[in-house]
Amino acid sequence: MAAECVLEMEQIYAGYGGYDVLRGVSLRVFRGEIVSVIGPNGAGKSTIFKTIFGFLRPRTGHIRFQGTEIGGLPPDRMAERGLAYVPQGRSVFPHMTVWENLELGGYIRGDRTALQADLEAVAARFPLLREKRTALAGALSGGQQQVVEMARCLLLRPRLMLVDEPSLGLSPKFAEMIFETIRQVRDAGTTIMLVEQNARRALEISDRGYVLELGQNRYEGTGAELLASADVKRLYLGG
Amino acid sequence: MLEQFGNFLVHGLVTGSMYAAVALGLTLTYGILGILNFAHGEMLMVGAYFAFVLTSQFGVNFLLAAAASMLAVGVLGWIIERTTFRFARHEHLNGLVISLGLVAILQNIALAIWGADPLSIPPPLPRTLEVWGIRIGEQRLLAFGLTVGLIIFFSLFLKKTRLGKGIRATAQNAHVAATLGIRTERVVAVTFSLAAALAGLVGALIATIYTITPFMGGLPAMKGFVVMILGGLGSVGGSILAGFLVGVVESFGGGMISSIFKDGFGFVALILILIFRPWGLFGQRPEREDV
Repeated sequence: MAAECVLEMEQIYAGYGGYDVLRGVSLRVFRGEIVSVIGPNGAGKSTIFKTIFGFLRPRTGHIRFQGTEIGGLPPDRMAERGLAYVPQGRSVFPHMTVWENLELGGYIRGDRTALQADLEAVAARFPLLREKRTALAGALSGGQQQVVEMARCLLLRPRLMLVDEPSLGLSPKFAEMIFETIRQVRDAGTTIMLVEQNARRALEISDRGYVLELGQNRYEGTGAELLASADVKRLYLGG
Repeated sequence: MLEQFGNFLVHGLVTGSMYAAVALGLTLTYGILGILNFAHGEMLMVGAYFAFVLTSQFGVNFLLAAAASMLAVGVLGWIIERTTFRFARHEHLNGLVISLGLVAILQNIALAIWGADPLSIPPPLPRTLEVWGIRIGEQRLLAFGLTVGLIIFFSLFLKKTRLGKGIRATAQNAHVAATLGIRTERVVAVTFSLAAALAGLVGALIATIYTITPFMGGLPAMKGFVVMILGGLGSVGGSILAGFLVGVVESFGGGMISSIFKDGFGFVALILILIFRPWGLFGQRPEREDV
């Protein structure tokens, strides 16, 4: 593939308190892709995101974002580089309104007028945001909060968006809507890296995927290949 | 009778404005550090001495001195946060111990410099006004005006400005705030400094009404705790309203029931209200964990 490599992890070892959760993870994400990381609980899926985003310092290895080493940089320096992160679970600011939450997505942007236009565009894309504009974000349902979180990250105009377990705890209908949104975000030009427990659905919308086991990437391939692989099917897709 | 009521109410509101300002500072610190800063009262004390030195030894105009106190204590707060509290970010117990240590250190420094004898700043506006039978010193009105002005300024700042929103976001979820590019460490330092500055100004104002001693910060801080718990821990609006409420309750209680027990009425109100609303007057009722 000749496309530009947006993110590259090379032989990453990282973990907590002297115990490595990631033991030599290497993966690449190319521009315009949706890349899924799947694997059983405890394989280190979310740890990959925490390490990329600087919440966890890699013990050894390299993380390059658009060619620049970012391993070990603090989390608050990622947004300015074009990296966005939708963490697992509820991450809205609960005591602020939906609109204030969205505005915070543009916190580091200096282009006031363009930001205003983006806010309106996002609100047009998700009518819920305008409907609930003055509601406290903490009062929304889990699925609605997920929409706010994704929309907030879009306002960063990221190059790469890390999305951690977006369907967790959502109704099938809402989960489907979130997957559809992820695909549309990619189509609009943002590269996506996805960690999902609903491996089948994640692979269906993904260009490529990595299967993680015990802190190492065991298999990699296109979404279709992984879905068709007998091993992956037996181990992670429930037969 | 009506005049007496008016007097109690007005004096209660004046005292209440001080409580509200102290509680607002405590609430800001609690929001970003997650601890009750016991040394908040000592910030107030430093502000009082600073204003005292400027006015009585250098002959500086009181309003200028009060502004300088605010600035100086703000800087002191910034230094304290950067040199101590930043290392207790993930250990709230350590933060509490630091704040208790600061109480002892600041009190003893003040004791070593100025001794234990009470000092005071002669009120720049010594006259007493009388309107409709309500008597109040002009100095108290000035203090009231400045404090209320500052409280309104801070509330709008938190609500409307970019940095204000950044502070609220950091208080609610620092990790998520960081992912949006908010420099959370800087926001914490700035917030702590603002809270300290607020205490510095209140200290300078109190110094013209009451006396200055190294231990003058204890009672206002204790009142501030009562007020912020009453208002609902972490609620900015709640702590402001509760500040005025406690001031008025104390004023009426002190005037009509017992002046010796004056400082106790706020605590009585706290206990009564917490029986019925354990989350405070304006706090969020804790969510039940869904299984």
